[in-house]
Amino acid sequence: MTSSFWARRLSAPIFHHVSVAGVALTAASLVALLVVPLLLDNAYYMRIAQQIAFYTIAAIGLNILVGYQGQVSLGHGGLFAVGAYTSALLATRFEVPVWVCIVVGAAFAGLIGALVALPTLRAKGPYLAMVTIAFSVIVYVVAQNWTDLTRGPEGIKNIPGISWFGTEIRQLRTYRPFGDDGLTFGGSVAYFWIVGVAALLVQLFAGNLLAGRWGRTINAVRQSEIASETIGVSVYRWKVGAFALSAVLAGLSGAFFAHQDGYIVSDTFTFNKSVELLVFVILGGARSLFGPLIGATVLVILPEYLKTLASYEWVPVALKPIIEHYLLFYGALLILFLITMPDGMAGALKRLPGLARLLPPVPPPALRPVAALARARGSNGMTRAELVADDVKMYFGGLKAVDGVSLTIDPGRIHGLIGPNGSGKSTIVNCLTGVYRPTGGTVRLGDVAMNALPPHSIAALGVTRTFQNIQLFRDLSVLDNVMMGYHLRMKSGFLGMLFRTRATVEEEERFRQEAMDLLSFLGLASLADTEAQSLPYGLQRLVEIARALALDPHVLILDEPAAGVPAGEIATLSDVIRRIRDAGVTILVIEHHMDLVMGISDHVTALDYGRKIAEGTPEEVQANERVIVAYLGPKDMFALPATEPGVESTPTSNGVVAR
Amino acid sequence: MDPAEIVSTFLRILPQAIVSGVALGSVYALIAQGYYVTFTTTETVNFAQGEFLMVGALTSYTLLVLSGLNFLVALVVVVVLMAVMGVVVERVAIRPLRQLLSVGWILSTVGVSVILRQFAEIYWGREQRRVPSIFGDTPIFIGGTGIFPQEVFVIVASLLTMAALLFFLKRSTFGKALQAVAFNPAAAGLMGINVRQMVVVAYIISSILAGIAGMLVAPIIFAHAEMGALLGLKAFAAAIIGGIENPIGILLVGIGLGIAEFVAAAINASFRDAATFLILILLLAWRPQGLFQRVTAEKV
Repeated sequence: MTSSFWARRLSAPIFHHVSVAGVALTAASLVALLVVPLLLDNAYYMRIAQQIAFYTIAAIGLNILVGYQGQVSLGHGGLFAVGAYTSALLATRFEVPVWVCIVVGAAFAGLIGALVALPTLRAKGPYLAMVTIAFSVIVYVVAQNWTDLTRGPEGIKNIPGISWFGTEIRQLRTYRPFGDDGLTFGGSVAYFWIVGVAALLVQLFAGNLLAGRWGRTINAVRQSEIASETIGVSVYRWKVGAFALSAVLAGLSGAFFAHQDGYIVSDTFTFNKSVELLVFVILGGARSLFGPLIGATVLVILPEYLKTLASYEWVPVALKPIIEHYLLFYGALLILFLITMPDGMAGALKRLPGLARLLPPVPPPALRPVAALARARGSNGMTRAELVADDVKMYFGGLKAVDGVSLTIDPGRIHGLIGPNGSGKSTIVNCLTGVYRPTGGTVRLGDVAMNALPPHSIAALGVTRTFQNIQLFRDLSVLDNVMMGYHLRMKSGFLGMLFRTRATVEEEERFRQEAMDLLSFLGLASLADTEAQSLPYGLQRLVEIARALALDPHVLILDEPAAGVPAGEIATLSDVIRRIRDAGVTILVIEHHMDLVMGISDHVTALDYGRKIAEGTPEEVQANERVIVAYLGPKDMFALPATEPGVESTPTSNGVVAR
Repeated sequence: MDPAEIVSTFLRILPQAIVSGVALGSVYALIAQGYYVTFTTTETVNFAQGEFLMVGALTSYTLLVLSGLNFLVALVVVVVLMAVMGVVVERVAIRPLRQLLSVGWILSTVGVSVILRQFAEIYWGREQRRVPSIFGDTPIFIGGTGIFPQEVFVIVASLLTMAALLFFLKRSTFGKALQAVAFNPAAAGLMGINVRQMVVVAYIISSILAGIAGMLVAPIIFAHAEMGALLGLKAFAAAIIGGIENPIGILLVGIGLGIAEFVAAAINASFRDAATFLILILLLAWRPQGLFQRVTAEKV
């Protein structure tokens, strides 16, 4: 069979637009899951296999949070405990069917996770890590001391197992359908089937989520929260969502744990459990689809193996007491693995030749000739509202960065904003886009007040921006960066993405094509598959513009688009900005490069020391006495003649016009 | 219980809680200053700090109780041992992993803590070891409030150690170089400061602080292999609430948490260990950057 066969994409529910190789891999895993345990007539091995399966579930969730979304949690052991206790208590005290207990346990852990995340996700870095540690310790203290409920270190005994066609699963008698030497079936196999299939489903669903818009968005939030906001992503909601989802999976894992032996005890749920789960993810390979599975497999088996070392004859007697403390090796191996495999075991495996071909990536969409920027809303149907800043003030302590500036940016025009460094240009942009909340004054689009709105709501109104210090999603491809710009226009819901419905996949394809069109409009089509961070500076700025254009904005604010762009490419940039204006987008451009800004602007405003000093056509502003003074100092200072319009001038990096 | 009774109970336990709390809290603060020193220079902390403390405490048991050495000699040995351990942990668990996902160093230092705990179990066993105070075990009573001489010693010694540390950091050229590295490693390197060496020094200081804390606290609580885990985490909580880049904030919060812990213990003993962490979650929900850290607007 040729490689094109394996790369063919199928059309089936859940596997919509998945390659033949991908489906074959899933099918093979399912068969292996079902058959292999029958061959192993060993309850001890089955118990280990069950552990691998339920820890994989928790690790997949934690990988979504830590690897893809980029938040460290040392509290998922606590959520694992919440799932375990919830399910165990429901089953023992209220005799709820075990299936229901497990689902409720997972859901309750998700709820608790969201409750922890809601007030605390504003904390970052070590602060967030500490919050999660605190949660983990609190859960342990509660489990240990609230003995009326949890029985503490004494433990909850006789937790019922899942019922297998009417029989409690641990009561199933061992059954050999093909004679004494043949396959063996019993309760431990059945329970492995259940947990293993659950893990397979979770793996599949996680793959679905991460392959599409959901995964792209959490990746984007990790790489630049501010850029995500300005293209319409409610960063906070997505972070809480990712936390809650990982909490559900930790809870599900805990519930499966509780019903494995039918006995849980508070000592299991120390802070170490949280560390253990994180170790599965990091050593397995964070931000890798199969990393959690690999991590859980190796790290469940490893300690079990180390425990058995003492029984071997070749081990010197003197070493045996040390082997009892097998965790000593575990700690050492942990450090060794971390150092030698920085992207985990999955990362190390990925470098094996040939493996990459097994799961071929989706090819980029075809190129279509694009003459002009196609606009979804069109210039006729849209509101032709002006963006207005009225007496905007922004103070930082005693510093008046912007002190009462009024601007009106008329629709369909290019409005230039100039001023020396520190004159308040970027602060104005931050006020217009909701990054800062102005100290005073109003910002509105037409009649809609935007003062109190967060950046993602302002983006939804059709006002977006680029950044002076480029804020691309660095690890994502150029195409995916642009795809992020469609965030607000993509409608497929969480369940659609989870189940990979036809509508979801088709929407994704449609927007990929549109993103490709946008890239060819900007002359970037050949770079669609390139990682954004590997592009030269000037091209990165264009990609940022492409991403902003994907929003189909009314107003596009360009914060120093020419900074770092080679002199030879300025003309191209001017041309691009004009073509965007011609497509009906209002543009506010903040720039030091005078040739550019004077060449393209219909209207120019000049700022100095947080106040407006001049406004008018480019010619008027260039001739304005106060502008010249602001840039060059008072005339008598060095007795320099003022710049006259039309005189050839070379701007230097800080905007001073040298002659 | 009516409110008046609660208030009177509270007032009755408060003096004792303050005395014991300040003693334990100053130990938290001392450990947490170690987090401060390494975090400002490298944005990493040693999650095995609690285990370093444990090794310090158990080593002092070996030296003072088993070998019958003089306290000062034991102190010197512990300080040297901690300095060596600081160099090793920086070299093995921090330096290779600082860039990894921002969590690599958390896991590697947790790995170090696992190793140290297992080692301590092998070498010192699982028993709780009593390290007698050099000042005896007779409490001094002031009113109804008892205070052990060792507690006074702990408070005085840890405050002096912290004062010496701050003096060193703010006044000496060496301390200024350390601060320069904290502020901007690249620029500090260009100014001829050996950044790598500074990081090692930060870890040495941090480890020594943990070792001293261990020696001080051993006579108050028993020394054993598991003693460090919770102490280290509570001290980390103090560092976070105080604002990890603010040594004075850390000192105040450390002592505050010590007192809060004893108040909580007087109300319900089993609640004691949860109190610190509950306070932390509530405070961070209110001020996500810690109590004493200024809010800075992100520049874009």
